[in-house]
Amino acid sequence: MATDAALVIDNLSIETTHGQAGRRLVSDVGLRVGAGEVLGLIGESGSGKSMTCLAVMDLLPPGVRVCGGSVRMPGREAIRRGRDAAMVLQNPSGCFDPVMTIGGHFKETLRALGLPRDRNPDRAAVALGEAGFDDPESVLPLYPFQMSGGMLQRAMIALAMLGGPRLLLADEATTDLDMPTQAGVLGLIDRLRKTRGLGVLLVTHDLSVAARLADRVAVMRDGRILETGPVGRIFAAPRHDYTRTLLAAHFDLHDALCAPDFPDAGDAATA
Amino acid sequence: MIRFLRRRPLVAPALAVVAFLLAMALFAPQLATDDPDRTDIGRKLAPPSLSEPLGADHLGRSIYSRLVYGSRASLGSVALIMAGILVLSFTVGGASGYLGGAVDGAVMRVCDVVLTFPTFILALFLIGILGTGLTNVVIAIVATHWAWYARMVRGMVLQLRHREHVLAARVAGASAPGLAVRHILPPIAGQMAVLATLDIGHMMLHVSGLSFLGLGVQPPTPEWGVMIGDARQFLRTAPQLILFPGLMIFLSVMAFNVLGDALRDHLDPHLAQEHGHGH
Amino acid sequence: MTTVLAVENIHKTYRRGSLFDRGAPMPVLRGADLALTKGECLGLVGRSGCGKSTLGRVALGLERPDAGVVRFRGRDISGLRGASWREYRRNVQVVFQNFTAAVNPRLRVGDIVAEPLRNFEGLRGPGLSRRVDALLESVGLSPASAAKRPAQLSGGQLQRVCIARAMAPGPEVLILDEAVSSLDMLAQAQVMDLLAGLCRSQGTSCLFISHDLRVVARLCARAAVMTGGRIVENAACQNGRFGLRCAGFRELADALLPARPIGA
Repeated sequence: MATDAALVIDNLSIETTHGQAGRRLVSDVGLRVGAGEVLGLIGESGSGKSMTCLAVMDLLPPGVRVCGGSVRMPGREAIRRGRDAAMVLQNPSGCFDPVMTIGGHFKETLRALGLPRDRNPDRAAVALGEAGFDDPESVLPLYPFQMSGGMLQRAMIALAMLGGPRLLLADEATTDLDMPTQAGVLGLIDRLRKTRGLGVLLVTHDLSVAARLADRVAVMRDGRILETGPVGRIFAAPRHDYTRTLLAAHFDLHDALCAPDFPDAGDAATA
Repeated sequence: MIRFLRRRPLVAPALAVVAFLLAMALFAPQLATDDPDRTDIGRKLAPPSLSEPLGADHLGRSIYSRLVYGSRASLGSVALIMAGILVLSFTVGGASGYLGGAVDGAVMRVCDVVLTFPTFILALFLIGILGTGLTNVVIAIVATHWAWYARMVRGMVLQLRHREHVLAARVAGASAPGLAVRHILPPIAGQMAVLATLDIGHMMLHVSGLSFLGLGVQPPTPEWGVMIGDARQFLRTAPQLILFPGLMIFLSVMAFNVLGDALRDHLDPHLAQEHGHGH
Repeated sequence: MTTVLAVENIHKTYRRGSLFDRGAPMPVLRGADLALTKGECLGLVGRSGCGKSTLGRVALGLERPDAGVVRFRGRDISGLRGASWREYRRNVQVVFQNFTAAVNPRLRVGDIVAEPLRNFEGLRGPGLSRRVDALLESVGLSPASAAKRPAQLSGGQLQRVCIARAMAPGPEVLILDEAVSSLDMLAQAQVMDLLAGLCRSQGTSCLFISHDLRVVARLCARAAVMTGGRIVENAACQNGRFGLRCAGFRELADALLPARPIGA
């Protein structure tokens, strides 16, 4: 099990039945996420990266469907949402019920997973503790509006881990967070994949997020994968012009700041 | 447009019904076959015939003509009611939401008081004070319903006031009236149109209900609710006296509800997708 | 070095709760001071929730502070009326982070950009269309975009429309509230270049609010750090080197992610 891939996508195609019926949103996408590996899926808005994630979770919106290829998790008949694969989204506050406390969310999720509270009284607190909360008990009675974006994202991750999934889909999970919070959440994901052998599909448009966390990178544009490879190779020797353009913009921005006076800026990998 | 209609097969018939009702109300003199108030005891409870398409009522009056003329009272009163409610709620709710602070607080407390009363009971009470008659029915129904609409408008204005495009418009030099007309009213108007259309059926039932109780139009003015009220005693002997006006009310309410739903779906594409196409 | 826009000792507290349930008041700004000189591009950095955007809105006159003064060309804006208020209004413009929310989705692009021209200069007809076309071109959009609706444009294009709208009255000050934070990398690079070019050519002073140090380093000659509702440090930024040393800045700098994968 430890060496089984967490996710294998073969020739996936997704089309929309709305408007221009039959328009391909994703064409012949192939991806593989190994156990304990982070695959960075780089792409801009509209590249199809979010649709790919939704297809894995079987959450495609009405009017959009898979029209070719397959999504599977080796060792499983079908990918069970919440148990085998979990997803964390860009806007954490939109994913919580505003009139339910965090404790309430945990209770609901545990019930859905068949883990009743009376036999597992500490599961919620343990999960929150693993997600980096110093005092989990104080978080449970809070409502979502009382928590910051970073706290909510950590709580989302804690909820996602409850079912013990093999795969975590993080769709722009840190895009709305400020830098220090982002570093913390990425560190949490890093820790989880090391301790649990979690496979992570890290969807982002920010190359530095991929640089921080990804083992391998796939570049996506207009619904197609342009190239895939180890993160070092992609950054040092991109094969596709589009990748080169992205990297150029990325380095341009970064190198403006990474001057010799700043010994810290280049290796902020400690998290 | 065609695609819209195809996806919602009930809309075309609903529009046809509404058009038909409007025509009825506007061209009543041309469409009626007879004077609706002309009694003729000789024809009492006459069954449908060639000269009298729907038969005659217990006073020998033409049912068909009374239905046609009755549309004026039923629809006209509802139109006046909606107009009154919308004007009142937009001004009060809009001002309350925009100005905020103490004004908002005071207005909302007034609305709260009005909203605590069940609408029908409050309407009865007001008619008790004002007296019977269609005008007073209209006033009473406006008075009991404006508060709910005002709350809706105020809520929407509150939300919109802080939206970035309203802030951006302020920075771009828009004056308060300019803001209201270009940036705040249009989104509200759409939503309020949906609510109003969905409520028309409810208002019609209110008017008919109060008329049925004898509190609305006074005899001999035809109105569908009154026609049902008058014909109560003939339920077994001549059910067509109740059937036809009842059918008119039913058709009107259904038509407006269908249109209201379609309008709402049209304005909110996400909702439409979730509910699937058609009804 | 004339000061164009200044905020002095601004305090602002948000009161939560309703009439019957007074929540704890949330102080957002606790005596913030900032001054923007002519032609300068000043960065305002800080963590999410530190009050940067609120300070921006106060400087824009969109919110009134509980205490403190906002000065435009030395005059207190709360005392401005009529023509002097309009002068302030047209000279202090804004570009928001959320470009989708910042435009009225029912209007066409041309109307969106034309709004300040209509309000401040009373332009109409062909004169207005000419100015709108020129503005669209100045932000790298074709005049044909004027007929489009916001939903038909990409994020980068829509933000350019917002920039065109903001630059339309020829303002002295442009406040950019996380203006590039929601853009994809390529669009972000293009919009940053555009802003740099516009501010240089028009001599507009910019207040660039951001939590991203890299962007501020690229665009600004000076940066101020905000922590806990106050400006704690203000220093020059040259060639990507910040002269800042305070803890708030250190926190942001330490959190920067690497440009390249470690070990590559």
